[in-house]
Amino acid sequence: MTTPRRGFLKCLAVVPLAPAAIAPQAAPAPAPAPPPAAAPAPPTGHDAVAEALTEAVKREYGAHLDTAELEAVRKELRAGRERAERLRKAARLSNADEPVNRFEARPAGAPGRGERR
Amino acid sequence: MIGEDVLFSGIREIGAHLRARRLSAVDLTEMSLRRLETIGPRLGAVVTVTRERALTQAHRANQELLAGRDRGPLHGIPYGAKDLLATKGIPTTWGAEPLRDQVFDHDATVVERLEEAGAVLVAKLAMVELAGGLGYNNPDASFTGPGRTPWNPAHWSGGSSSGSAAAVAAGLVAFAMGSETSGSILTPAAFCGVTGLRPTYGLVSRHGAMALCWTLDKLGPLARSADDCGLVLSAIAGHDPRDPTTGESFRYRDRPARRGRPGQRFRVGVLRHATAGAAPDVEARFGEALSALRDVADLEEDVPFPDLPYREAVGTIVDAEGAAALRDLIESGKVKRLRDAADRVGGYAMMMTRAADYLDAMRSRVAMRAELDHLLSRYDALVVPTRAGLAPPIGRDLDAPVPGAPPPVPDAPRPPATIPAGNLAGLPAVALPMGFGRDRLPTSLQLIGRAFSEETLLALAVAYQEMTDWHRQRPPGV
Repeated sequence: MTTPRRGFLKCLAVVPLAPAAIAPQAAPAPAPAPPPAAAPAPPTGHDAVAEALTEAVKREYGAHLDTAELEAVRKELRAGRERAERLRKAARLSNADEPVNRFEARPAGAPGRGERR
Repeated sequence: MIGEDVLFSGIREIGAHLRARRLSAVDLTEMSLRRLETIGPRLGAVVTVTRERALTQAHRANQELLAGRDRGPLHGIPYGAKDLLATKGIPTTWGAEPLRDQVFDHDATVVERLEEAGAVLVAKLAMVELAGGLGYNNPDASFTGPGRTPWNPAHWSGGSSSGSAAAVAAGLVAFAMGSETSGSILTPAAFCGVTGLRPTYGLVSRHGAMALCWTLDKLGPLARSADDCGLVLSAIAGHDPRDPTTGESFRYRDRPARRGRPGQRFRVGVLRHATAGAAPDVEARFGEALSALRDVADLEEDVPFPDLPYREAVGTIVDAEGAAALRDLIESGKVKRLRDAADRVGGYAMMMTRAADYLDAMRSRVAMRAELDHLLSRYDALVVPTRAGLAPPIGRDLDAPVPGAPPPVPDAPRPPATIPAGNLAGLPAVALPMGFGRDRLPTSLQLIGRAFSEETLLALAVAYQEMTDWHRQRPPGV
């Protein structure tokens, strides 16, 4: 089950490059490229996930967010991932630990078993 | 001749004036309305003055009291409601610019119950936009501007029940309703020097209140004294079929102090590292408060508080439930019209919260609740300062380090995270004024009790306030 999700995130990470691939054909030829600089190391861990999720936010809600706001979202997402990890490490949950859950099958006010309205 | 000073009295004293016909409910309401209209805006405390509804209710209260129909201690008493409580035909803005024209066709249950008790709704009070659920980090986070503490208006009133606390402190109303998801009653009560009660989750109906987190939200009073909070809680608590979390009832006994009776002293735990990282003034006032409590309680010092990931769990739950509750505002882009920059983007990150993380937070909550209940079963209350610091100045980034504060020391003791812990477990707490710090800024004592132990907590709080007069102090200039 994890592979498709990783694939999805990986796909999102390359999305920003896509618009360049469909740039108009008539664009002027680029100037000679400067000597290649060392490429920045790709983000890893929480940074990588935060970046991918930021891209998801951009895809879904990008109309409401400018570049600076997306950067703020990215920081929030990274902080959220760290927080979830701290919780997970500290809480030590086992398979059978159930969540707080108020769901009840019988609707409020409905008659009890064997009763009729 | 009774003047506006009466609004700095307790509810029982004001009620005695009404019943003795030294003061009419209409005159009292007019005093409150006048103060709301003149002082309220200076403090950023008021959204809507409900003059017409207030005078109608006040005239009715007058007639009923004259006719001998007494609805109880709140009859004829003016109060304000945090502007996330629905009020029929009156705007309910949730503190947010995009919702400033929102009007409901019904009253929230607590507003209904206060009306049944004869209280007079005089104002909808300012609040941090959307109850702070989207992650604000500046005191200026409401479309009405920053809330200011009446003790020093250059400083913040606290949030998110900003106007509720400031209006009580400045004598604009006799009491106010607030709400707390994680700290929104206790913090403004502390910064404004008033008494705030966060009831047990499920004791007070939230029907008609803005939902931020269904499993954390609570409604409670802010008032001059613990006694006043008890009177208000008595009127609003109890089962409501429109809020399935409710069921328990609460009955406040008159002045239930157990002071000085052998064998019936309170048992109080003073939490280990209670003042770690606290401002020197807070530490000093806390020491004085403990001295006062020793008159009525056996204090056990250095009680360890379970070191569990309360903040992480609360943060995850707020993100997940808040994103769902406020989803329309987030997805429509209306959040872009919010005041605080962090609020304009926070919702988009919240939308990405993983379901598994939310469920893990809700799973961890079960064990945390059990550990806290086990600890609290040994005491009538645990005590700590409500806030380690004093009210920050308007304009300060709330996430930034406090200017002039020493740099954090690695591995230094941390104060117990009682606000997220208490909210996560749904526990009741009372914030009580305990004196002042620099610049005449209030400090506050927090009592935390076992679920549904409000009667005991209030008895201890009343006993403390019988020995101190911090709750009777009046801010300068109001």
